[in-house]
Amino acid sequence: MTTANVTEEKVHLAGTELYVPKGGSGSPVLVLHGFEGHEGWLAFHDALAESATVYAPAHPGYTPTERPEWLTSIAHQAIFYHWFIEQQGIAPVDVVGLGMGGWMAAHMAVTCPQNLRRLVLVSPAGIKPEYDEVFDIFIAPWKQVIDMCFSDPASSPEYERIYGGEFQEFGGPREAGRTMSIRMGYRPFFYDPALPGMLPKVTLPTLIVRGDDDNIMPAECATLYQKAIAGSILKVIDKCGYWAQFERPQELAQLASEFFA
Amino acid sequence: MADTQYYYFTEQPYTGYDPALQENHPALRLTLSNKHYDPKIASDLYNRYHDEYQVADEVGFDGIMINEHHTAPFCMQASINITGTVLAKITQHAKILMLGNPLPVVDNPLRLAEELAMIDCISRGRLISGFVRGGGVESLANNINPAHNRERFEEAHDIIIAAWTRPGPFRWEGKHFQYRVINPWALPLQQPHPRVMVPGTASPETVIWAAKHRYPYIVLGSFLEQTQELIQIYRETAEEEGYDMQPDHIGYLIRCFVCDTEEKAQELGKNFFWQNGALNKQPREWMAPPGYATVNVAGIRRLRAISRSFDSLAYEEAQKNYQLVVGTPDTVIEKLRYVRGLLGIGHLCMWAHDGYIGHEDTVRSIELLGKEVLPALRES
Repeated sequence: MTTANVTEEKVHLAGTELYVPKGGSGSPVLVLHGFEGHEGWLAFHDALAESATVYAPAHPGYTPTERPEWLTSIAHQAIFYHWFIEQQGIAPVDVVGLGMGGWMAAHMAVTCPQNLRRLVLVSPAGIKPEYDEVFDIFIAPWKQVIDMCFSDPASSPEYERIYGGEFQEFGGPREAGRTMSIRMGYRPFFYDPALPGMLPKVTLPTLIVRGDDDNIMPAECATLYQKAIAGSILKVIDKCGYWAQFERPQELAQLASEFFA
Repeated sequence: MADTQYYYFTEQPYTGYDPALQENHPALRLTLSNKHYDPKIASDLYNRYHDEYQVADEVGFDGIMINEHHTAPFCMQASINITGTVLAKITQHAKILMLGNPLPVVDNPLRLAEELAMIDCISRGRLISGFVRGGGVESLANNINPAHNRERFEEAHDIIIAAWTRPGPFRWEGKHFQYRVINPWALPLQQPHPRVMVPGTASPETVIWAAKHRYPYIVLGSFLEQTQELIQIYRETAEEEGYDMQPDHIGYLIRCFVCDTEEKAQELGKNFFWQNGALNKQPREWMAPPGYATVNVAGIRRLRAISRSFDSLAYEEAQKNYQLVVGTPDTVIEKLRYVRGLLGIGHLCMWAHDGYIGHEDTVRSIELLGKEVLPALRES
């Protein structure tokens, strides 16, 4: 699948060794995964790497990056990635934040915007919906959660590649990431009550993307993001669930690449 | 075995809902709607169960074991301390064995220390204060982060012991709990503090923790083979800690019901399979949400295997395996002697009521246990 020249790096930082697959060429794009954890070099990364240098790290706490003891929240992840950008000397970078990673990217934009250039937030968590509820991923069987993150898992090559075959529901390399997600997002569940009040500080060009068939995050969350960040754009991908990066990798990469161009 | 202590236990089941729900609903806790709960029935049941505790006290049980669960009909005790307070006033002699307060889901362990101290004073020193981690579902029900479960358990325990034993005022700056002033004006009557016990079903970590603190570990009805494994872990940990495990360090909870005839006992014993034996019918992921087990896959699998054990048994098989002991006093005495001897336990908790067993039959069972079974067990 891979067309980009992908390397795997271990970056010593903040008390851990950050695992960073990196590929492509051009201006840097930092891709922040969501609660699904790090699923390797994706078709989405590959498509994005056609026009950029893609950094696709596994967050601290998600296999194979160990969690340093001090790091327990989304805000801490945001500080960690600022630290990474500064250490690598790659500022300003474009950022794609996926789901929970979108929440991290939003925090990064609030705290230290000079390290960033443009933001793409895909089904971002972080804002409490006003009318509906975020689906509770922590009390449903994990396989059900995964299936719900797709509009049509059966037609997704990435679904088949990543989740097809025998599925280990408990334990295994994904357990640490699930634990990290519950550590950071359990209560309040996937939002920061202060975030809507802070987001108007963001002046970076921002594109918000959601799938039209998202069973996890209510559509209003994307709209609330758009309202909070002045000048931001909202785009909807057809026949797409919560995980656009898996289900519509080409479309999402094209939207992001055009926005970053 | 004159020193073995015997305790009466019931889950205090709420039986007033439509049994058809047991078949149709995927979980009998957390999400089973409380529209099926009738407070009038509950009021009668609470008072009935309290009357039965009084009988257990009068007929000579050494203690009454109580517990706490949330959002579930199988156990009506949403607060173990309320039941404990009632027992402190309505019983005279029996120890109040709490197994136990679920520490991780408590947000103010200092208040818990105060409440337990009050119960110990009011009961004139009859409290045995057990502490539990609570199943994963209790963290979900109380919205406490499962990833903090063990840390909160250990820190809350440390606060309670400190509040009981260290003269105040002092400050506490912990990871999960902070206090400007710990200085409770409610201290336990028993010195240096009420006895602590720890129950469990499968987690080796909990056995090791109990053994390191020299707290008795009470196995809650796990298979005998499994129980022996857990006891062996306790024994080995005790050796590492430089002491010899005694019978007093180990207890076992067994389902046990007695009638005047075998036929009636066999019939009523089926009540231990009420809700199809699935006391905790729930999706597997509720038992060990992410972070609840410290990424110990073997432990997680073991927990789940045991959770399925009782309800997967046929009634006769459950009796063969000593998961359930029912019959006339003579039958039950023989079986309980076997279990006591096999495990070498110093505490035998008798889960002597469940399901739809009525008040009169429950009282009769308690009387037969107290007047015939316990004296025989104390004899030999």
